[in-house]
Amino acid sequence: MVFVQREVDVSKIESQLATIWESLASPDKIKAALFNLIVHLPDRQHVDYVHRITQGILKKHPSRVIFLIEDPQATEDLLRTQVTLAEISSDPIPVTCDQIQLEFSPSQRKKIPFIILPHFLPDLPVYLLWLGDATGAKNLYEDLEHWISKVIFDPDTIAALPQYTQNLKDLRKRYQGFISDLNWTLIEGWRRAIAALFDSPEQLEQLGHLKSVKMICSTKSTEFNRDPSLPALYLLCWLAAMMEWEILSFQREQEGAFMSFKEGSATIEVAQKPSLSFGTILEVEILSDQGYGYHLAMGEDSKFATVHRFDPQKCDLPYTCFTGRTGRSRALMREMFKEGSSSHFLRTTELFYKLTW
Amino acid sequence: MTFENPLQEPGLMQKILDPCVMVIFGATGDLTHRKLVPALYNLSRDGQLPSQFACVGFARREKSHDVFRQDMQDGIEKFSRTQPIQKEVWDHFAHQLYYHRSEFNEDEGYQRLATFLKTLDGECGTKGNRVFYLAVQPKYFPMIIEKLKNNGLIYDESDPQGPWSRVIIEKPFGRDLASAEQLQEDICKHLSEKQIYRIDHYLGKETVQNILVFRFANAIFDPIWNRKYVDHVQITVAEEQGIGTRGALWEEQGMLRDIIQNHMMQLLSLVAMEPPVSLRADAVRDEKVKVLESIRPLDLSQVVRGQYGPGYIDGEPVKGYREEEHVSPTSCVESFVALQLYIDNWRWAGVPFFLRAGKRMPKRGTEIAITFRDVPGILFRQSKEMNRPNVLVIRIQPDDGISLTMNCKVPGLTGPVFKPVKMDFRYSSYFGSAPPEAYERLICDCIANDTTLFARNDEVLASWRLFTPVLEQWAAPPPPSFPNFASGTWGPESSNDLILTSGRTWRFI
Repeated sequence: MVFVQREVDVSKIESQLATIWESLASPDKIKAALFNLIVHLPDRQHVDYVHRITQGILKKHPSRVIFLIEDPQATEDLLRTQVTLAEISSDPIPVTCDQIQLEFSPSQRKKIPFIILPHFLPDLPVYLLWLGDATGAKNLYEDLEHWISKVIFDPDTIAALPQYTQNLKDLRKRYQGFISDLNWTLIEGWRRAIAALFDSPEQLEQLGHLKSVKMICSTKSTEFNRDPSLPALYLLCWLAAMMEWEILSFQREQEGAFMSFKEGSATIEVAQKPSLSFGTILEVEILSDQGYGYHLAMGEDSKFATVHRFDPQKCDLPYTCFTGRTGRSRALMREMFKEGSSSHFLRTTELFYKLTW
Repeated sequence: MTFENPLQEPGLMQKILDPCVMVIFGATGDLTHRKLVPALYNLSRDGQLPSQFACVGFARREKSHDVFRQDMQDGIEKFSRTQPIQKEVWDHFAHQLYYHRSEFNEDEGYQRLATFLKTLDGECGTKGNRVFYLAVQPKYFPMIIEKLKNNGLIYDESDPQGPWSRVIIEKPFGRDLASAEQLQEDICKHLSEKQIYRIDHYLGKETVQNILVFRFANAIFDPIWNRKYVDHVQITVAEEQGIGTRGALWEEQGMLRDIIQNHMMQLLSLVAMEPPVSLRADAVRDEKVKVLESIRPLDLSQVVRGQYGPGYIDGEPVKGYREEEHVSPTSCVESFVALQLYIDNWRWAGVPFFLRAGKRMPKRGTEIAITFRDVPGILFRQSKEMNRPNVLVIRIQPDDGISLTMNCKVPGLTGPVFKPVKMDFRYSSYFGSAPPEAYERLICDCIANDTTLFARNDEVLASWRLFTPVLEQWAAPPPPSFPNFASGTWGPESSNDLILTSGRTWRFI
């Protein structure tokens, strides 16, 4: 992708974008946009991450992206604006799309909705990607909610999940659009694999005789303090929510967690696999007290898992199944194109509320 | 009672497909190499295949599993829409590929196949579900199906909870009405209609599927999609290439059987159909059949055939049809057809539909062009050259998209002078890289038991009823005077006359 970037005054956003567009040499250029995407960052340390995932989307689906970067460290009244024309493809003719970036201090926050509202491309959906600490959800831009088709959260930490759930409940009382979560989308492949594994009454019955669940996920240092066991916790809570297991306790352990249910127990462990994407779920093992066992183990490639299933009488031959890609660009893209709020996700978040320790 | 899995999320776009084995008859043929296995590879790559899946190639040549896998890897490397081949996806997929050698008429070969598939059920967990893809000449369909049934490989499916079996067959579905009826009778001795999946790969194309979305998800077009506003419709399927090495096949078929009777009729019925009552497969197909049954019997004077002679394509000389490999030097088989037809129903009465398809045209393109009636001309008393009617074009290939031509005033002080301008939507600009291939969608739909994108028997027969009289007339003497146009031109003069007599002209695509 090729970028032409300029710092501008807030009042000159559209005119500068038009100027850059005019300056492109090719007579056959196209400017395209499938949607408006607002990305809220709680601080500067998420910037590189968010540029990576948005570029991944724009290559396939050019759109207008508005970055809102809050700088909590800024002491004076900071409001800096930058516009970018991104040329995302040039074959056979150049296709471009716009980006607008606002950096602001907390004192300037109240101006933001008024600044960006005129810059939504009309007749296209508006999505909001909300990064960082999930407790920030209560600070969503109320003045913009009316225009936003879907809010997609991307929480970093487990500690804030109970508050996150409370904020989601409060949000749903006033916000009529849809809600989703990138961590939720990232585990879709695992959810499908587990749903397929228990796709008969005989197998599903074993989840009612739970003995233990164990999940192992990878750790990898990231540019900000993201909790590597988040995706595994989402997966575990989903399973518990769908099977209506009753949580008795939840304990954080060193980069992992332990949960006990009335029906059985569960652990999440973090393994040192820095070659894989952050938080990749590596293994899931489910044992029932009837002697049934299910083991899914991801290969190094992180697309397919090998599935072993056994019961007291026999051991099935292993097979491989697709557990999905872990790319966040793709996850974000799928969430934007998916209609509605997932009923499974909403039920899973009910369990987050009970994760107190 | 149907089992409801609480872990399966409702409304997810991708269904969990049943485990199954796909057996491809004609595994060493071109279709398997270029289209089917690359499609399966891409489905595997995107996680669209069932977890428990196996594919068995069935053919006459002696080959091991590993040699077959190597051959298929070559095909994927050359023809897959996604490149380069991903090693970990290939390693996973290759373990699902097997080969079975037998003649099509060998009972013992089918017995061995049945034993082998049972072994795969145990090893791969495919639960007895079967898809048989007959990528072979139609003359083998009845025999293969009979052998499959006699050896217990096709089930009667009286138990809805039991394993299922389906057969996919490729066009042509017969050579004319009588042979199509005979084929249907032969295969229905052993299969029910719901087990038969007739592939027309045009229906698997994203842009063809978009015709229904475009028509029925946009309120502004429905009120004008009829005889009050539409002047005429042109549907063009043009190819630059000649028949290549497929001379033997072309001598049996010709353009009418290869394109017009099937692909073209699918495009026509999607453009002309009424909104279905639902998106159930039969609801959609019912409406398509109604269109075909409403077409007025063809006026044979309004059907033109042609055959390309030597000419130039991209500046290079090319030979004529009669000089191609495996083609008779006195061949009377058509490589070009143009025709005019009318749909006698409330929506389309009096609107001419002009269809043309040809090989060795100046450029490749498939499109549907709807030309709207002109304005009265009271306000802007312009000559015809300045006032162009609005044209909506649905481009199927290449550079899929939709464009609308409208008249706009030319800026300046010289009075109401206007020119046509084009609003153009291109799939590639908004949706990035190549969409899934048609066969990927169709194979997935067959496993998912969705027949929407497959031709139904009554559709096939309705189409044959329309074109069989044309074929009969063409078969009778005197022979046509072929070739009658040069390669690199838009067909014979008679095809221009066909449309000119109505006061219209063919579009440049």
